[in-house]
Amino acid sequence: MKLTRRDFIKQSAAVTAASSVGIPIQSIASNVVTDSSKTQLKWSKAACRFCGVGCGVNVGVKDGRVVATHGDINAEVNRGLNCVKGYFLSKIMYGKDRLTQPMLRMTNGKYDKNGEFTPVSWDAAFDIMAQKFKQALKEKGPAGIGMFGSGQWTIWEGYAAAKLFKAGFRSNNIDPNARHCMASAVAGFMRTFGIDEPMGCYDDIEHADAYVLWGSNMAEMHPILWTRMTDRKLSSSQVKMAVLSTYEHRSYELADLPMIFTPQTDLAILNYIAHYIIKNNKVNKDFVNKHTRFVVGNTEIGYGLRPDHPLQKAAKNAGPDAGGSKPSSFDEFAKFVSTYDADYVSKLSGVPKDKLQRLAEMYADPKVKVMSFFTMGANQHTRGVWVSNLIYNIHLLTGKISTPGNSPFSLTGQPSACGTAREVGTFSHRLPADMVVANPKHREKAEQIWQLPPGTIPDKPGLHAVAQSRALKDGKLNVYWTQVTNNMQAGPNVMQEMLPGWRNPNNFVIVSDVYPTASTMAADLILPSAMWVEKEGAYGNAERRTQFWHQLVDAPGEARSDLWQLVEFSKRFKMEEVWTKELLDQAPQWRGKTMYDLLFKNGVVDKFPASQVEQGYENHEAKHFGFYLQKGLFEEYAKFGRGKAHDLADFDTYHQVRGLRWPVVDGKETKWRFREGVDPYVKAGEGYKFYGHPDGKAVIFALPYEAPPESPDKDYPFWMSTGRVLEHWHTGTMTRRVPELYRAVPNAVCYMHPEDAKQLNVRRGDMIEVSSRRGSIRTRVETRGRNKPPRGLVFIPFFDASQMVNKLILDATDPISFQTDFKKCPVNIRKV
Amino acid sequence: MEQEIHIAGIVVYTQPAQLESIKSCIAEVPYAEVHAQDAHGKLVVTLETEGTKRTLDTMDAIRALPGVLDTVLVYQHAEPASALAQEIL
Amino acid sequence: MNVKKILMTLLLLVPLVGTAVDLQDSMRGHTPLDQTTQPPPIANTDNSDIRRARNYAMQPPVIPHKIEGYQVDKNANKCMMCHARTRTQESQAPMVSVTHFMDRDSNFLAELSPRRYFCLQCHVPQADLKPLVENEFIDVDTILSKPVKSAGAPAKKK
Repeated sequence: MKLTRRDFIKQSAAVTAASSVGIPIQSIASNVVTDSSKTQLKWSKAACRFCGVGCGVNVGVKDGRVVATHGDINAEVNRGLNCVKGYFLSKIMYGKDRLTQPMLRMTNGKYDKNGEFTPVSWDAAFDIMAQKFKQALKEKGPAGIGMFGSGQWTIWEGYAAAKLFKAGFRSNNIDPNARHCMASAVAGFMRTFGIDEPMGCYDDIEHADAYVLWGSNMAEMHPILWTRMTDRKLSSSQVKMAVLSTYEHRSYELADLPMIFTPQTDLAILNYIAHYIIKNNKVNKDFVNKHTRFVVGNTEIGYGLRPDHPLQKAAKNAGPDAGGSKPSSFDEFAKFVSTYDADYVSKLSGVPKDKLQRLAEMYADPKVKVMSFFTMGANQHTRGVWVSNLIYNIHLLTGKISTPGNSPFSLTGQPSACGTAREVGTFSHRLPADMVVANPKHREKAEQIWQLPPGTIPDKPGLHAVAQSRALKDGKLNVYWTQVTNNMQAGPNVMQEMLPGWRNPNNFVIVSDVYPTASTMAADLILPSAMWVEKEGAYGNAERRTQFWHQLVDAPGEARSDLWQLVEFSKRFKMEEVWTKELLDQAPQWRGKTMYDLLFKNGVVDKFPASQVEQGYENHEAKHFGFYLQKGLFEEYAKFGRGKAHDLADFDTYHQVRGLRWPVVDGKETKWRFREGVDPYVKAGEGYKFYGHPDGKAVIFALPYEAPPESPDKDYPFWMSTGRVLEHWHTGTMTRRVPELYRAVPNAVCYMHPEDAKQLNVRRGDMIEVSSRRGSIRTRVETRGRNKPPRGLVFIPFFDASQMVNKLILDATDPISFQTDFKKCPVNIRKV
Repeated sequence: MEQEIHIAGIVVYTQPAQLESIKSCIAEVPYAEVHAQDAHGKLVVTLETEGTKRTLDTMDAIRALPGVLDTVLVYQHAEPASALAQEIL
Repeated sequence: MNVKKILMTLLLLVPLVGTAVDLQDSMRGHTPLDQTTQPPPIANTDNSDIRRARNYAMQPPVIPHKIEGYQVDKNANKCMMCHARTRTQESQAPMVSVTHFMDRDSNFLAELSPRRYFCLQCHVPQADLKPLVENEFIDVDTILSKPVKSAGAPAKKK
């Protein structure tokens, strides 16, 4: 609607004149509409669609559309604030090119992998999907099918998918995109504590005396937590901030102790700090003796590359022993870290000795309550698990853990990598509540809750993210379904592994998404999905807070929620088609039934009638299936964790409150874990108990610095790192369709040191070609941007579908977590 | 000097019986627009002219119409034409 | 021409399956995934100082001017040199919203609340570019003013 100033002033003139003589005036763009029935919006709470901070928002709906959102004043996390992305949530669903119908590649009315996308009905879509699944199952068994899910799935979507695969298809080839972001952190938790997720919470921010950021750019990536830290730091001169990264970014704006280190040397710096603590007698001996034990971790563990790669062949412990360790002692540990003295570490890392010492003092000084924040710099690392372990080391040596302000805090990237991927266990090696498929007792418990005959759940881990791409390329995996993720743009080594895998003529790839993306363009079948508040949903954020929202508006066209897709699809399989005769003999009650009956009509998931959906809210899935699907799934899922330190409150409670931090016992949430008085699982008199391990102790690991798989050389002389920017979420499929966010940062650029630009004979704005051993892209030089890399390093964000920087990234992973390292890619840059 | 546009909001007091014919007279004026009326014979009108003289002359002319009791200027605003052309939505 | 004939022709032309669509990822453009694109030049930033209407009342307004080189760190905040309450008479810049004076507990402070210190977390400048794809968000005023569905009532065009 276009309005000029002239129109506006004419309006004002008429209204003013009219009101001066008491005449009411109805005009189209009137300044004040006073009819309250018209102005009233329906406001409902929801969680933000974006990052792991998990801000609460209020969503205003009018006439079936979202018209406004604002930061929820009542949400503990953000108290009324959002970041710029959150403030544009009301526009993310309304890009004109929303997918509204299933589309299949066809020629002359038949499926053709090289055909053009043609709209088909849901029935036809499921027809071909079922056909392809059944064919792969017949030819290769459960190993031939796979699913790539998401830390942006709602909790029940992840749970339904995990059940579909592990219980229904009996395949562990389900892995989430959280593999790319949090897997190293998870393995770090499991190794040190025996149980996943941070022991502290965001409240630590308001208690800490020092913040240390390890490879984390919170100013842009966890903005609301940054506001809480800014609030505290600028109000109190004694609060100190140290920031460590491989390049200068916005988080350095608040740093008292800024440090730039050579990539990968974070390992050495952490060992230096441990050494410093021991050398200066700052070890909390009482704590260490009572609550920790020492091990030496296996080394030379390779890089998760294909087995024939020379680096893999040279690695001593590249196989299943990568995560192994041997018992050790404090003295051995002290000796081990003593080689990481100031001279050595300063030389290796490039960080001056005095800065290293000041950093170490933050940990060593018993009076300083210190919070360590770490995200992708630490996780997307070929030794990311080690980084986690070493960070925990220095908190454990000093006993600075589980008390307000003393907090090693692993920050989560995605909104529900915790709540869905990790807690539900949608990984190739996991089951809900931190259980693993390799453990027979864990499988037994899952089989019991899922009402499955013993032996249903496969005992070997399936294919993780990078392995899935390789298996597709090799033709070992033939059917692949991805939901709520854009792996073709977000995953590594696109040209050598991923794209050829998807386009392999023997493979059938299904992508469920809301907009056309790089992944949909490479797929064979596209399924239109509902997004965010178009479905009843739940996320779990980085501080263990589970948050719910109702369906507030309808999805457009034929778009359906991922949950609907998973459940509806299960109807296409008779149990005889997915289970062996032997297995069915053990559970004859499922003979002649479908997977839908097994998974979702088992008396538990379908227990709650659709009438229990809260008055005034739609629920498309409940209506369609005839029961309160989300509630049934959640309550069945909650059985895994209750009593096992993963306790969730009951479903209905979450719709009332602004989330609760688990374990929720007797209606009370838990802010700090492992400590007496605040964690219901720690008994009086125990002090601390790391109950993830049978002996109640946390593990201190002796682990060395090991070099990355590729380092700059004369052919590829620059380090390249990739990641996000504030204004865009991940691959930009939602945010770049919001005009204000698009215009804020329209395209990716190559942030570069001005001297490097000079040497390359390029200036700001020039076009360059950036290439690695695996591919190349063209982009533009930026020497005056928000990121200020040191000489020899560049940063290119990955949100831009027209500059797919992940084509350059090697699919090397941490060998324990199988998480890709996106931060250290040697590249060559030349002017174009 | 750039051309200005003057926007005025006025009230025309009429004898109710004559309101309709006065309204149609005003409607003939290209730069006048009737926005509202009431049962007591009041009309709310805007004028868009190139200057104050024209505005006042127009008001005089309307006042002279049979059945018009008075015209009153309530609101006036002037701006360069280019500024007024800017889009605000 | 015979009406029946026209209908028959139309029916025969309608295929039994849906017709193929030219699906494109408008975030990438026409270039196939395995090829390299030509990156557009770095766009100019809107420096007009013209305030843009917000989509809804609580939206942080976008920045209608360049901010290159503006220092915002623990030592200085350049934005506040024009947008602080005490500077607005001189600068004629809009004052920071009153909401920026509230702390986390909704108490009003005498000056800018530190939690609001980093302006760029919520306010962003705009490149002078057309969006890649249209966004069909409808703001609440437009919805409220939609003509009631009565027969023959034409919508007033602006």
